[in-house]
Amino acid sequence: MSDQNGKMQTGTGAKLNRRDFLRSASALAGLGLLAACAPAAQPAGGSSADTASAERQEVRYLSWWFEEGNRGDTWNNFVTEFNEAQSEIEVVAENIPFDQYTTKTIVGAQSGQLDGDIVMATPELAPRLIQADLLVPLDDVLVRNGITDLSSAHDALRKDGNLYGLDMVTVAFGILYNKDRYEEANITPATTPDEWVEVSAALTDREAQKYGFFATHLVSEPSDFWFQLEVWCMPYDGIWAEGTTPLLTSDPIIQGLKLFKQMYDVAMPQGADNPTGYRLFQNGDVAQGLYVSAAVGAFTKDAPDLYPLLRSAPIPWASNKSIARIHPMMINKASDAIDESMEFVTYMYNPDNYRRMVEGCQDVIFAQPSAARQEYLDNLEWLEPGYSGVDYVTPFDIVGDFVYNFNEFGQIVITNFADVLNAGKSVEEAMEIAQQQAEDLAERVS
Amino acid sequence: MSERVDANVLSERTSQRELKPRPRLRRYLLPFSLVLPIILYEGLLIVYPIAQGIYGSFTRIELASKNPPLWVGWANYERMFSDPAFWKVIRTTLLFTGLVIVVALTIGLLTALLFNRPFRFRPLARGMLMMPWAIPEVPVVMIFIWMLSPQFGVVNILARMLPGVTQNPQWLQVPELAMGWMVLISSWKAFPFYSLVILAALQAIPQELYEAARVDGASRLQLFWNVTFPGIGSTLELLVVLAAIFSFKQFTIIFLMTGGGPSGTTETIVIRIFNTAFRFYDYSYATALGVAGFVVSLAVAFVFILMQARRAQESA
Amino acid sequence: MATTGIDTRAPAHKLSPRRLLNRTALYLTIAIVSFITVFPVYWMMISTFQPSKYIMHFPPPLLPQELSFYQFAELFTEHPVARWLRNSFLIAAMTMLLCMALSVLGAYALSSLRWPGRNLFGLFLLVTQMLPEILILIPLYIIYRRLNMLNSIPSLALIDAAFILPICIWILKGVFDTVPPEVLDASVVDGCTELAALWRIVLPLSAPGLSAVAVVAFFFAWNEYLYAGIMLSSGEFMPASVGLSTLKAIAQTPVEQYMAAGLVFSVLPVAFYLAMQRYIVSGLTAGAVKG
Repeated sequence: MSDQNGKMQTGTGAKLNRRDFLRSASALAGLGLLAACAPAAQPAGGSSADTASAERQEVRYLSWWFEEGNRGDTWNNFVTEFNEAQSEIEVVAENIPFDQYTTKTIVGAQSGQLDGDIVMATPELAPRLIQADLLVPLDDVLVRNGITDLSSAHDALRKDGNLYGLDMVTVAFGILYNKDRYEEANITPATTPDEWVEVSAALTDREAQKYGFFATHLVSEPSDFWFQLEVWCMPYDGIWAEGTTPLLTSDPIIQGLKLFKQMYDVAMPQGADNPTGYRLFQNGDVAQGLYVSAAVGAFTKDAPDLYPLLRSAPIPWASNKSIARIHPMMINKASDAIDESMEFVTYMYNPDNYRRMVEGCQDVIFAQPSAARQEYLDNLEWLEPGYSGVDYVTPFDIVGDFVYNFNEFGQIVITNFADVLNAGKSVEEAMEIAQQQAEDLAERVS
Repeated sequence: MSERVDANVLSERTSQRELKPRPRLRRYLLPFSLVLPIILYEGLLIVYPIAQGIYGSFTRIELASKNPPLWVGWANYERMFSDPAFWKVIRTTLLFTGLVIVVALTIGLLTALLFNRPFRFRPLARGMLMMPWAIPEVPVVMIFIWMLSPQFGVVNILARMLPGVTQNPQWLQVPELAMGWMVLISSWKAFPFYSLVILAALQAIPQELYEAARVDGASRLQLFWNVTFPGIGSTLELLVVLAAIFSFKQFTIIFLMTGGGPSGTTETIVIRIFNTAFRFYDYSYATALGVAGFVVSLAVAFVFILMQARRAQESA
Repeated sequence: MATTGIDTRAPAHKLSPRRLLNRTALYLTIAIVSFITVFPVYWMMISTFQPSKYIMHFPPPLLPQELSFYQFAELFTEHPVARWLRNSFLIAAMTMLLCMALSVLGAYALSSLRWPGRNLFGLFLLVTQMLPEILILIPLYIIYRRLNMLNSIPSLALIDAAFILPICIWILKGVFDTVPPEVLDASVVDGCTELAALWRIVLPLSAPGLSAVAVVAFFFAWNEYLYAGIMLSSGEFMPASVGLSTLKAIAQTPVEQYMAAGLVFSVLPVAFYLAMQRYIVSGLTAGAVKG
C-alpha cells in the first residue's frame, strides 16, 4: 500500500521539499496573522457606536428596507434625525434582506424570543407574533400623538383590546402599464376580465419577444407566486377560505384561476422568473403587470426612463376590489429598551413626521387618513385610477384562519396550480386535490 | 516555526523525560489529549444540538410559547409515516441521490481515463476540468438559471436544432426535464473532484501489472476489466459513499432553481425540512423529518463501515 | 471513448496513419469534454462583460459583441460588495485556520498512534458528518443566543469549522497514512517524542494534505449560506454568499451587474485553487487512493 502511494506522489509530482514547505507555511502564517488582526481592524458597528454614545441607550431597529432606494434613504434620514434631536437614545438601523427576514424572525420566535428592539412585520407574520404574545401594546403611541383616525386595517393587529402594531407602509395591488405600449397598439385599458385577456393578447407578439402581461408563476419563487396569485380570487369576487374552511373549489376561485391560465397562455413570457419579468417590464417588452404601489416609487430610481410612462389601469372587474398589505412596526416584549423604543415609534407616528415619511417613500395609502396631502397625491400621474378609489381588502379577509398558516396554505395552492400551467391538468382537477390537502391542513392545526 | 523553536521543544521534552521517566503514561495519554479538544468542540456544536433536535422531534413546540415543549411521544413520527408526501419525498431523495452518484461518477471515471493519457497541454486541461469544483454554488445557480431561461437561455439554441422543437422548452417546469437538470448540474459541480481522485488511483496502479497482462495477450477491454477496474475498486467504493452524502445533503442548487417543483418532483428531504421548519413554522415535525434523514444517511455510513471491515479482513 | 487506464508514456516515434487517427480522436474528445465543462463559465463571462441589450435577446450572440466594465463600478458603488467580500474572507480564513490546527491533532491521533477508542473516534467523526445541517439550526441558535455569540464573525467561523472539520480530519488522516511507519519508528528510536515526530517529520511530509484541508475548509465557509443568513443578523457582518442572494431577490439589478457579482464572488476561490493546485491534487487524493 505505502509503496503504491509513494508512486502516486511521484506520479503527480507534488512531493514538497522542506524549503517549499516552509515557504507555504509562512504564507499561511501570514494569512493567519491577517485574519487575526482583521477583527480588530473591523469598523464594527458596536464599538464605534459605543464610544460615541457611552451613556445613550441603544435601540436596535430591524427592517428589510434600509437599502431599498428612496424608502431606505427616507428611513435612514429619520433615524439620524431622531438621534440628533435628543441625547438619551441611539436608534441603530439594522438591515436584513427581505428574503431572510421572515426566516430569521421565525427562528428567533421559535427559540423563545425575538431579536431586536423594534421590528417590522409582514401581514402574515404579524398575527403569529401577536398570537404568540411576543409584543408590547402600542396604544400609548396613539394617545401621546392625539391620533383618532387610524385606518381600519389595524383591526387585525388588536388582541384583547390592545393594539400591537402600527402600520408604516400599506401596499396595494393595481394594474400598472406602459403608456407607450398601449398607444402603439392603439388600445385602451380593459374594464372586464374578458376584455383584459383580449387587450393583453393584442399587446403580445411572442416572435418579437413582446408580452402583454407578466405575473410570477414559478414554484421556485413560492413567496412571490403566492403573493401575486392571492389577488386572483378578486375578479369573480371570491375568497380563498372562510374561517377554517378552504374554498378552493368554489366557483369564483376556479374562474379566477382560469383567468390567470388564459393570461398565461396568451400574454405571458412563460417560465420567466421574477427578475426576468421585472427586467422585461423595465425594457418595455412587457406591457403591464400587477404591481404593488410601493414598487412604483422604486421605478423613479431604478428605471427613470420608464417612470414617466407608467399609468395605472382601472381594476377590470366589477367588484373593484384589490388587496392591501399592511406592514406594522412593533416592539419586542423581550427588549431591554421598551421605553426608549416607544419614544422612536411615537416620534415616527407624529402626524407630521408620518406624512413626511410616507411622501418620502412615495407611498399612497395613509394609515392616518388626515395626514394625506392632496397636492402630493396630485403629483403622482400613475395614481388614478388603479390605485385610488379601490375597495381594499386585507389578506386576513380572504384567507380566513389560514392567515396563521399562510405559507403552507399558499404552497398547497401554488404547487397544484402549477400543474395546471405546465402539466395540462384542468383547474377543477387540480383544485380538487388542493381542497383536500387544505382540509387536511385545517384539521391538523385546529 | 524555525529550527530553533523545534530544537527547544525537543530539548525541553528530552530533559523532562530524564527528570521524570514516565513516558509510558504520557504516551498512553497523548492520543486522548489530542482528540479531547475535538470531541469537546464537536460535542458542543454538533452532538448536543443533535440531541436537542432528537428531543424536539418527540415534542410539540408552540411558536415562541412560554409553555415548555409538550411531550407528544411518537406522534410526529406517526404523522410522518402516514403522510404520503413523506414517502414521495423519500423516493425523490433516493432517486436524486442515486442518479447523481451514477452520473457524476461515470463522468468522473471517463474523464479520468481520458486525462490519464499523455497529451500536450495536459496540465492546462486538467486545471480547466477542475473549474466547476472551485466555483461557489450560488454563482453556479445564477449562471444555470440564466442559461436555461425560456426567453434568453443559450441552451435553447441547441434544443432548437432538434427536429420538432419550435419553441424554447421550459426546462425547469417540466417534471422529467427539471429532475434531469438538477442531476446534471449537481454532477457538473461535483464530477471534477471525483475525476481527480480516480485519476490519482489510476496512476497508483503499478505499470508492471499492465505489462504482465499485455504479455498474456489481453485486449484493451480485458486490461480495463482485469487490471484497471480492480485497481481503483476501493477508491470507487469510497467515492460512492462520498457522493451519496454530498448529494443527499444538496440544498442550494435545488432550493434556488426549482424550490422542489414542479409538482414536487425535485423536492428532496432537505428542501422539505427547510419548508416545514421555516416557511410552515412546523418546527417539531421538521425535526422528526430531520431525524429520518439522519437515520437514512447513518445507514449509508453503516454500509461503508461494513465494506471497510470486509476489506480489512481481506488484507489481513 | 475507447480509452483504458493505461498510462502509455511510450517513447515518441514516428506517427503511423493509425496512430495519427488515434491522436486526432483523442484531442477531439478532450476538446469536446473541456468545452462542455468550461462553457457555463464562459457564458457567465459573456453575460458579465457585455451590456444586457445583447444577452437579453434570443438567440443570444455566442461571441462578445462589445466589452464593457461599467457594471463592476456600479456593482461596487451601489452595493457594499467590498464589505461582503471582506466578511466572507474573514469567515473563510478563520474557518480554514481552525480546521488546519484541529485536523492535524485529530488526524495524527487517528493515523499514526495506536490507542483504544481510535475506531470509535473515527466513527464519531463520520456520524457528525452525516446530518443535514438544517436539523440543528434552531438548537444552535438558542445556544448562541444564550452565550451572546450571535452577530459575530468568529462565532460563525466556529460553526463552519465544526461542520467541515470531520472531512478535513479524514483527508489529512489519509495523507498521514502515506508517511511510511518506518520513518516514524526510526525517529522515536532516535529519542523524538511522538509530538516532535509529528512536528518535524509528519507535517513537512504532509504539506499537500494541509493545503487540501485549507482549500476544502475555505471553500466550505466561503459557500455557506444558511447559517450565515441566520446567525449574522446585522448587515455589517453579511458575507458575500448572503449578499449575492439579496441581489437575486432585488429584481431590478441589471443582468450584467448581477452576473458581475457572481463572477467577483467566484474569483477568489478559483484563484486560490489555481495557486495551490499542485499540492491540493496529491493532498486530496492520498487518503482516497489508500481507501
